[in-house]
Amino acid sequence: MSGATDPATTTHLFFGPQHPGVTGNMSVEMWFDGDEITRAITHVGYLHRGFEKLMERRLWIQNFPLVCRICVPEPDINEECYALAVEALDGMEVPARARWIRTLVLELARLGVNLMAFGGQAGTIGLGTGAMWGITLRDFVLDLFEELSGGRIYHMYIIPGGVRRDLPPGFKERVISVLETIEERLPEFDRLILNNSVFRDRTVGVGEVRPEWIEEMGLVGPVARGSGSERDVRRDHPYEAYGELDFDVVTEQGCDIYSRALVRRREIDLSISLIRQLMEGMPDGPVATVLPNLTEWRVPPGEVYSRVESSRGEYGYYVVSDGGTRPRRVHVRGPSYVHAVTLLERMLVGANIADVSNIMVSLTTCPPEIER
Amino acid sequence: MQKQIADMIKDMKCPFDEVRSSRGYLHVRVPSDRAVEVLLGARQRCGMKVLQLISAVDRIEEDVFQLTWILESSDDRSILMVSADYPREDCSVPSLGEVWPAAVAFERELREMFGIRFPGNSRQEEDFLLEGWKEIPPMRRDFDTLEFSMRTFGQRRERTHTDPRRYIAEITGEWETPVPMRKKEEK
Repeated sequence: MSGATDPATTTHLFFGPQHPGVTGNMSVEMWFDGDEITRAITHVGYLHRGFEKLMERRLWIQNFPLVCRICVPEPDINEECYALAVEALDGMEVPARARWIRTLVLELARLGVNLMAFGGQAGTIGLGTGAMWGITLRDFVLDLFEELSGGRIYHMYIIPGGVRRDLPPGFKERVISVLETIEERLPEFDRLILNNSVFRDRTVGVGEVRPEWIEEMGLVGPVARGSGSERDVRRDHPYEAYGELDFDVVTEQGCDIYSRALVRRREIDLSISLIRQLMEGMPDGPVATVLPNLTEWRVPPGEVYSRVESSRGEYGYYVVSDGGTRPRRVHVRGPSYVHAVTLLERMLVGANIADVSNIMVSLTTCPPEIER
Repeated sequence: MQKQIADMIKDMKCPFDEVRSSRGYLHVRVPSDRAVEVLLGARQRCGMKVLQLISAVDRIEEDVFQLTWILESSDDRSILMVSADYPREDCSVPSLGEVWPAAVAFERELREMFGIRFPGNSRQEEDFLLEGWKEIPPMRRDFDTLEFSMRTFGQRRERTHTDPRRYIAEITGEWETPVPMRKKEEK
């Protein structure tokens, strides 16, 4: 690691694991010269629950209630990634309606996370009202999930070959009603956060992510798109119903915290647009294929890497089967892996101590993705 | 993309097996002593500039670790997976941290979870997740999770009833409940 660590002039600080800058337990060990960080090391491990090891001991279907717990704010992408991998290995076909419902679930989840993340960005600099409003609006989305799956946070709704059940009667009207409620409040949300001079002063030009770092480190999601990149799996390699929807990738050029917040704000509009398209074009038909006997289900031998676009960026599952009733290996590659370790350690050098929380939240790290 | 990469590997006179191939996705298996050469060639000649993941599979029956590198094209975002088998005993794989900075963290985790060493990785001795871990690396197939749990945490006492008051009284000794017990429960 670079940076001066002269004990005469350097302050050594352990930041975390409990602090305002992250949506889970993760700490950063930092060295300061005055207010300026000269060196930073990310420490993870507080949330290690051995998911990958557990998955090797459980039946293929038993891993579905497990994978969603890897990321609390947005569990559905884990279900989707695992389902895509199992379907690819087993050669399973997914009915069209199930693909559209899955896309709807993924976009609803993205909408909820981006509402929370956008408000949360303001919360880190003391604008607590923004954080509360974001959580409040997200709750309307969680109401929909509760109706659809029975669970507000963990849904366990996406399974191999489709989804657990069809949309309930009148669901479309309630989705549209929630979208209208959110849209009605967004202008006020914008005035509170984006037009706030303190928010702009604390975010414009702070937490720079240089465009050349995107390829070098493999940065994804709003972190990359806030620095001008157009990386988005939904458009580059469409899965489920994304190939049939009309949308443009959201990008900003500022490379700073403000740009990343703006990407998330515009992603909210994009998700609302996609959900409307999905509700209008939803095909009829079955929502799942017939699965084999789940206790004796043997997935053919093979290896596959499946990927989807989460609210934080590209999410991947490397799944290996040896033809048995349990996975041989499952490796989860969340976007936080690179953002919270490789990127954060580099971008904190030269930053001010007062901006640490702000920078960490702008990366929307999710520590369980790193530790699995 | 597949053809370009296949041609590149053939130019290197490197034997390879195609494991899986589809649109925008290619998985090849190469000899372990040529894996790094193929990865660097794919980066320089085929634009596979983004490292997505380094993963390992413990194939204990064959006494090998299968390492898999997942690269992504910066042009069309297609995926290239390169796999190679390394002997399990004293496994050592060249580090790619100088080329891809993200590799440093992936390699640190593999050293910790599988015991695979990556010479050239300047931070491979730093703990990643498991600070102070003294057992064999836990993601190896021969790590006995049950034996470790029993030895570390012991067996939970068998539960003979489901009354929380009795349970707390048993483990803490005397315990006075702040709320008077109802007659039915006193019996």
